[in-house]
Amino acid sequence: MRCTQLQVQHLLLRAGFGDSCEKVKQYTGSKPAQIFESELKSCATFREVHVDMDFTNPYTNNQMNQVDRQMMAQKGRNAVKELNTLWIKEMVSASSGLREKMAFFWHDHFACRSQNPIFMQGYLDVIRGQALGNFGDLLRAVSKSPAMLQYLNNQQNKKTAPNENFAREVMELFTLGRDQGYTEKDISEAARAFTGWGFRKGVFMERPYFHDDGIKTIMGKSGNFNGDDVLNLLLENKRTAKYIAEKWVRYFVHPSGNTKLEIKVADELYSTNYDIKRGLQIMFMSEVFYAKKNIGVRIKSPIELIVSVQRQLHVQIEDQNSLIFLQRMLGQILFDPPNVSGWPDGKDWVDSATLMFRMNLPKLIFRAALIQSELAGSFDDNDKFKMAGKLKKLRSNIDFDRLSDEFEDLDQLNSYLLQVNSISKTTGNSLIDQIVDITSKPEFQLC
Amino acid sequence: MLNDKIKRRDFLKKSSVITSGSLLLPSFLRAQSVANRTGRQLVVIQLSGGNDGLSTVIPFIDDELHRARPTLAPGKSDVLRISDEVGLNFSMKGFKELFDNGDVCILNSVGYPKPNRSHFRAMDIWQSGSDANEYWSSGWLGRYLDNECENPDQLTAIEMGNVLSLAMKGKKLKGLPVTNVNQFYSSAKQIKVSSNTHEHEMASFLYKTIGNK
Repeated sequence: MRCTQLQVQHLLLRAGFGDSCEKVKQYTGSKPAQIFESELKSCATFREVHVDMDFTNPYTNNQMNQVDRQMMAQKGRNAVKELNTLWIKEMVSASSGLREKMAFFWHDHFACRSQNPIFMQGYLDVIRGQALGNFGDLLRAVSKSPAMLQYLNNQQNKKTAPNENFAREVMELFTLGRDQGYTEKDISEAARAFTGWGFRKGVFMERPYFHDDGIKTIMGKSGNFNGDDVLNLLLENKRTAKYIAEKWVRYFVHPSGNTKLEIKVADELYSTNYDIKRGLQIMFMSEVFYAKKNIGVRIKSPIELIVSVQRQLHVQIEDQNSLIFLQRMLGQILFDPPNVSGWPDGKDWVDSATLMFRMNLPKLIFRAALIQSELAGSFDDNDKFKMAGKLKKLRSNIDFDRLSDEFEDLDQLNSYLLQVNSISKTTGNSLIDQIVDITSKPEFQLC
Repeated sequence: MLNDKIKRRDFLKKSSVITSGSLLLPSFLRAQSVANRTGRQLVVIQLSGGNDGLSTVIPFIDDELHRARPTLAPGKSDVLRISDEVGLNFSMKGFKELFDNGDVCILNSVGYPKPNRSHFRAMDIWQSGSDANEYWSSGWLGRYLDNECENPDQLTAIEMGNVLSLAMKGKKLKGLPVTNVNQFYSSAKQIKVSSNTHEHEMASFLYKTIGNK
């Protein structure tokens, strides 16, 4: 098959955060395999997302006095915020959105938060670096990252007092899936195998003194297992491949899933020893992915919405606090998932209140962009100050020339921005007015 | 949770100001009054997370407790006694005062057979009120809305938070989650929608959501 414009947009929205009109045009008429290959190629190398910081953990450093401690904690929170917005900006500006989309998926899958920016930096490096690599490597690296060790209390998991938190979630949420072939006994036995896993000075370490060296029996197998052995047992279990495949299909294809496709993807994942790229290829190259019933059925998550508006329309929100503010208003803040099971998805994203805020969002962004561009020509600092205050300092920049080069008429704009036809007519005299009108329609929330 | 400058009552008062406009607003904003006639409201505070019940309401007289927790279990003098057998955790002095005034009632030792220890499944069971082996998609408060609060034009339940809890989902009616009352109010003023039917299922869901139906 060769992709229509709608199908190209479908792929770029789901396997990324949407893309420029120019790229859509360029891909239209190509085969899914060609497009996916091309996207893989352009995200093979990627930029670092990095925050420079001079940070000492105030929660464990006893030598710090109260004032220094508070200051350091504040510094840490600010650095995590900075990392958050730097990542969003990379999602917006990366030449392909594929790697960042997968990293974002893994952030939801291996949901984790920490006030310690060095831990979050390490965690982000893992989920971005391994985003398209091997799921086993990813699982091992996340499990050993100080952020996750701390978040799921494995630092406190000791022979004399086992803590089951990590063992429970690694089975329920990261590999097998809830109630999928393991028992409470398996959890407590696995917890024993993970005893001693911890970190010191931000680096993973096995602490033999805390490790339980006895025989454990997990899912019918016995041995003197350690943490790595348990992760291998979980990967050998095909339920893990099935669970990941199901989650992918529900996330990337249709919220209700698709049993046939899930089996195909799971088989590919399992037979390639969990090669993420190969699994994704099966999914994004299957004809069923491009079927009409799967198009426009997903409500954009807040991050998808914030990023795709910017990617599709050559606009960038520059202000850090505004980017955090928008995430908070819409209910999804990077590095701050509600709990270890990640964010709710689908219809849970919108209620009357958030939907109305979503529909107002384009107006805020583009109005700020218009003012910003006018102010660029103004030498009156007073002017700048006043206007910026009114718009909560959103500071969005827009590339008008590129926009007006790309769009010729209203039909084209509508078909490029909406995956589902709108029931209302688009109005507006200028290009920007029309864009604001279209992006404020309920249908724009779908991808 | 309710950290907004606008108090809920002010918000409800303001919402009646905009009922005469031509905009399509969530239907409950058009309703004359949200508060019921008696002015009585039920507030449910749901603490989502783990709580150690045995060190909250402590059966200090129970030998089993001391056997199971030889070092953790507090002695008779370390609890705030509310009966000969049960005491509150020493840090709950305010709570104890309310109890003594008759303003607090405790339903102790509530549970269900074969408790599920998954953090997420366990919360679903509590909020839906199902058995451990049943999967329900409605919650205990949601079913109350379905059965007792029939006027669908009136908003009957608000949840302070980002996402509606399972507890608040009924089969017909459900609560409305609101994080920021100011934001909700100012967004509501600006949205204009001409129609609310769409042949695409998800789009139709969105149009209905704007109308809060």
